[in-house]
Amino acid sequence: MTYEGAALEAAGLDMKYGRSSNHVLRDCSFRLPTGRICALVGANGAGKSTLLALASGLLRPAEGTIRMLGGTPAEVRERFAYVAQSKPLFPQLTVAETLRLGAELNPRRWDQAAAERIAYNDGPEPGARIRKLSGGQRTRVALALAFGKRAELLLLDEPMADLDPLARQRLTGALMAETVEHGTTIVMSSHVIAELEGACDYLFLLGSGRMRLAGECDEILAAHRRLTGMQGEFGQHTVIEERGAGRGRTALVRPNGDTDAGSWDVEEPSLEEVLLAHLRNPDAPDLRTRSATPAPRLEAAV
Amino acid sequence: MTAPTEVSRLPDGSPGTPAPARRRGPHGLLWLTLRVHRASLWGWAAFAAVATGGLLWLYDIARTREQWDGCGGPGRPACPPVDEMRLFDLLSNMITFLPFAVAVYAAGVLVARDLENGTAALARTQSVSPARWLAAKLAVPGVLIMAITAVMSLIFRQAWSFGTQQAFHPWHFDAVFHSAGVISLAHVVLGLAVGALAGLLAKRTLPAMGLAFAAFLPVHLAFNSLRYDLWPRVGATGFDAARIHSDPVLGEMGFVKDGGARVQDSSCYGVASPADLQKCLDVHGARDLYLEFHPSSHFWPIQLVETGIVLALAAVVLWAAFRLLGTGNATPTSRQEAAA
Amino acid sequence: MTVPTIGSRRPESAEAPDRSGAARGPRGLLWLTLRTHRAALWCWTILVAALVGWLMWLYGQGAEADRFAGYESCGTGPGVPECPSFDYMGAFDIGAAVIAWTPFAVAAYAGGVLVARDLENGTAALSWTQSVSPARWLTVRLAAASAVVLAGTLLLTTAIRWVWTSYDKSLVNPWYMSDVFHATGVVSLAYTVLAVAVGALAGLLAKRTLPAMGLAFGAFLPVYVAADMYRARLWPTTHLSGLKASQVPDDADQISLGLITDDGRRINELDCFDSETSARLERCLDHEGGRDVFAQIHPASHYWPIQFVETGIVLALAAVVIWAAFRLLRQRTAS
Repeated sequence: MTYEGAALEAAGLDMKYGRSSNHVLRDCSFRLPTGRICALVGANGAGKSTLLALASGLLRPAEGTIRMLGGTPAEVRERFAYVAQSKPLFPQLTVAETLRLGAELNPRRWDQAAAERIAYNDGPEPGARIRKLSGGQRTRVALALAFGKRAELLLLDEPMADLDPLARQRLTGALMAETVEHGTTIVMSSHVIAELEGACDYLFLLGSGRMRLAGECDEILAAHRRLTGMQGEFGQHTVIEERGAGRGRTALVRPNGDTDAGSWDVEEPSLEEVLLAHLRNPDAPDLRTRSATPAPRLEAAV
Repeated sequence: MTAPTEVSRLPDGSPGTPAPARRRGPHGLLWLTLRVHRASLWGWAAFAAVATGGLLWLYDIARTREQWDGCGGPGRPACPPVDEMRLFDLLSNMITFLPFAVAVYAAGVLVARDLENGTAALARTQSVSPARWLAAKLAVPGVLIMAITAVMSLIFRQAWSFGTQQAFHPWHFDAVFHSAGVISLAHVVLGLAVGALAGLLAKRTLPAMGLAFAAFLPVHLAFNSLRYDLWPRVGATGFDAARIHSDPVLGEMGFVKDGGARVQDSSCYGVASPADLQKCLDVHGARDLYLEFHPSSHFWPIQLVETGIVLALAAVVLWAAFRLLGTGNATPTSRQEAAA
Repeated sequence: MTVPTIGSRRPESAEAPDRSGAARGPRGLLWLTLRTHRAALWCWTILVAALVGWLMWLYGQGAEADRFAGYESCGTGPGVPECPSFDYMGAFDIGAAVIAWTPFAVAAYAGGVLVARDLENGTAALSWTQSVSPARWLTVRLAAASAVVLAGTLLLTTAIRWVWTSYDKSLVNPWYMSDVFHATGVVSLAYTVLAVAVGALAGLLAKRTLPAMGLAFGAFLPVYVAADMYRARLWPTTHLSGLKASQVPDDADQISLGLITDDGRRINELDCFDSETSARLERCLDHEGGRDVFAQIHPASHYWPIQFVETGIVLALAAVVIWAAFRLLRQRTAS
């Protein structure tokens, strides 16, 4: 990988729609190394779809830069794939013709076998028209277009939304296999945190227009502790969220120093706990690991 | 669907907060129709404003017609900035072709779009019967468009009746006949009906619009051809015939030859005296003139007959549309759309 | 979705990617554009074929109408040939009107279906993330649409010209009437191109199908109306005086006619027109108190110059609109 290992890199992204003064993204900066499966999480309306659309070159940011695979979205158009939340497809084409669409528009990189595997497995007939398919079948076909392109980076906006639990599990398996075999980087926005925990090794939490958490899941989890005890004070540790528990208090903290001071029960939180705590407390400070920080060169270019 | 004022109950039986008090203004299905089609209704209003402005301008030019004679020369007022004939043509054509726009609008915007994206089904699940839904959709914009058409026709008629026969086009000109009378109102109603039926048949926006246009066109052309057969013509001979400035489109004009044969020819019309007429007839070897025509007094009879026929046709088409609706054919065409 | 087996192909491999079914016919984006607008392509083809067929039938009818165009008389009764019951002029008018107004349908279609529909339901984004740049996407669409519509319009214009020039021009409305002027000359091709351009810009601005169609129609209309109103000014008029003015030809576009009075004023008096000789004209002028008659006209020979000037203006306008459309697209997307 000759582009310093960043599949996706952004600095100072600013985006608003129309003339409203509401900025969907405000000074958003992050970096995603290659070969990761990244979960993009955030409240409804936090800007996840906007971010993915900016990354795909479908929108122009009001300010800031975004780079993928070492170039602008326009330059690397052939090397990444994007599936929008509405899984847009042409309703009058059949499934087979939709796959042909992929072959025709990506002449140099199309893998028909890979696309067919995703589209037809438990899915629709080749001759079925798109407008007659169910939501889950449409998702399959839309993902088939993304897989068949043999991209180095997959941007998926809520891909699991229409799928039944079994299909979700299989898709997750397919995505993990992609990364393992081809080193594909995958960014998935999703609401189902429990599933993400098993599959994703990188996390972006988008809120208030910027990345509030960015980095490897392991490192983020390691940076948080759940402390439970009778004492009300949590001292020098940064408290993310605190509430009553029984006759004492429990808090999710980022430790600044030693936590084995004896008076608390210390546990490692789950990813779901960390995310929910941050979502409930918008004022909690940001956390960004080293690999998630954009290169200074990029920041200077803003 | 008015907001109830009684206290609503939560699922566990405890009383909920009182529902909001009734708002003023339109409510129920009327409110829904106005709100959903707000953009296009404002569009019609804008069109009405522009068209009315143009018509008032035409009226002003027509009213001061005498001043335009010899305009532009020394000591004469400046000529009007726009050729009034072209303005007249533009406005009369606008009124004439308005029913086409109405048909396409009814098919695409009012009916088919809601069928296509599932909001028609939404209304049904909100306790509105399909018949009421369609009736509201046609009536609310329909009343507005008919009001616009009536105002336009009225102003146009005023402007036109200032002009003499040489200034603007005569009463039997297709565009004038449409614009200076009441048939445009009837054609607008027919346009709504055809649009509704087309929308229910095609169920998708674009095909519905195409179908509405393609269905309305032959109707329009048919009426153009058959209009002057709707009322019996008046006959005239001799010098009376010669004095009448009749247009060949209204009937036949010609000679009666010595053998009794009738030949169509417009020579000898417009001669100054019976003696001139006789000379002219001798030149052409004819015995007499014959003329079958519609005098301008036939304007209103033909208008009313055509209005009646068009409205009857509209009634039939509307009945067919409501019938189609009632048999449940107007449902989303796929699971895909049902899930929307 | 099973786990893909080991050994699935990578783009760097030496094997050519599988292009099942893509061997024949148009490739790439052109294939997609044609396939997704198949219904419209068929409609257009059928419409053009039907109209051309109808025009050929009209040609046949014209022969009969031509017979009675000022020579023989017709009527009912013994020894008199029957008048043709077919309204040739009306039919020709309808044909000319359809061809003249086709650009409006083209504009509405280009706006609503060609551009806005794909923007509205996301399939434009689909194409753009399937390795097609937005600029190329728009180019192929506009080019394909223009080619198809131009070809059809060319056929229609040729057919109606053939009918128009085959018979006495007095059988139909004159050359300077809007519909006839549009349908029988090269301006029809220029307006078709402008219609596609206006539709594209409207589609990009409105982004939704029905508003785009309305906007395209509403934007195209003033161009048409303005052209009709100001067409006469596109070429210098010819001024006639004296007997020539009095006998102004029937097929000329009469801009203004009248009398020049003894004190030099020009008034709209038509009494001395159609005088048969100079002597009669003189007598009439003395009677009316005028010095001369004048006529400002466009004779029929101005048909082609006005056609070319109007074509040039319309094409220039189309170029500006297309430039604006691409600029707007560039501004919106990172292309």
